[in-house]
Amino acid sequence: MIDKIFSSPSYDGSKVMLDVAITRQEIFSSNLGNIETPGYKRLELSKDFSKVFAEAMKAGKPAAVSAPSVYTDLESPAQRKDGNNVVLQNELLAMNKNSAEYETLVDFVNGSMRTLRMAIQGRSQA
Amino acid sequence: MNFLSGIHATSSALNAEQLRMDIVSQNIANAYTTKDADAGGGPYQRRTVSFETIMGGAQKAERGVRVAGIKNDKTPGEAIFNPGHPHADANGMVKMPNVQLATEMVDLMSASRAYEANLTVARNARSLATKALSIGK
Repeated sequence: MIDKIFSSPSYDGSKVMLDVAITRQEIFSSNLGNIETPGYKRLELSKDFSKVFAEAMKAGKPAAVSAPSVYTDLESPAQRKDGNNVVLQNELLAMNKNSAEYETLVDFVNGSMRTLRMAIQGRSQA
Repeated sequence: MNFLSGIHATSSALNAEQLRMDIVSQNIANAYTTKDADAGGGPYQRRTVSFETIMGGAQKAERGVRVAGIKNDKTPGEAIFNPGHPHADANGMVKMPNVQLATEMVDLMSASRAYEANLTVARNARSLATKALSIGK
């Protein structure tokens, strides 16, 4: 029972995704930190990660997924003369979305632990 | 990994933007300074700040920012006729600094917007860390 909760694919998957969310937060802090740096190109997580992760989840082995690589986004056009392609509102919106995802994942992890505690104590927490 | 993810990049950006705002206030303060030793004894020349990215390791997602340099803007300012001025030349002309208030204000606004954006990131990193602390409660 205990093994099942702490090695279930969804628990493992949320561990992986929590790390990914933290990496994303680092990316947002770099992009917004360099919003005024001429020629800076925004960083991004590798685009195929979500596909790789979804397949791993289907196979039930999300823990085997390696951390996504960070790459420089040279494709998004620069809207400014100085060649910087960071767009403030896009980064802020993505950061908000990322936080919401992170909080959902933490709630899920907490839920798993609460379930286990309930099983141990035979009652739900007051 | 940090407790507050990305805080190095954010704090370096806050410092850089702060310096930029300091330079703007220096430029505005010296908008009528007609003698400046750092500008060859002539009128004050407005300073400009340039930023550059601090490259982390290849694997690291964190890229900070630092001030690459502070340079004098060598564009000549206008000369006005003011024979009573102590720095007037033989024809009564005084060379004024090349500070344009409008330019400085725009610079100040974009610096303070960038500063606010970075503060938002810092707050966000904090809320993530707080949320992480609730795991297992």
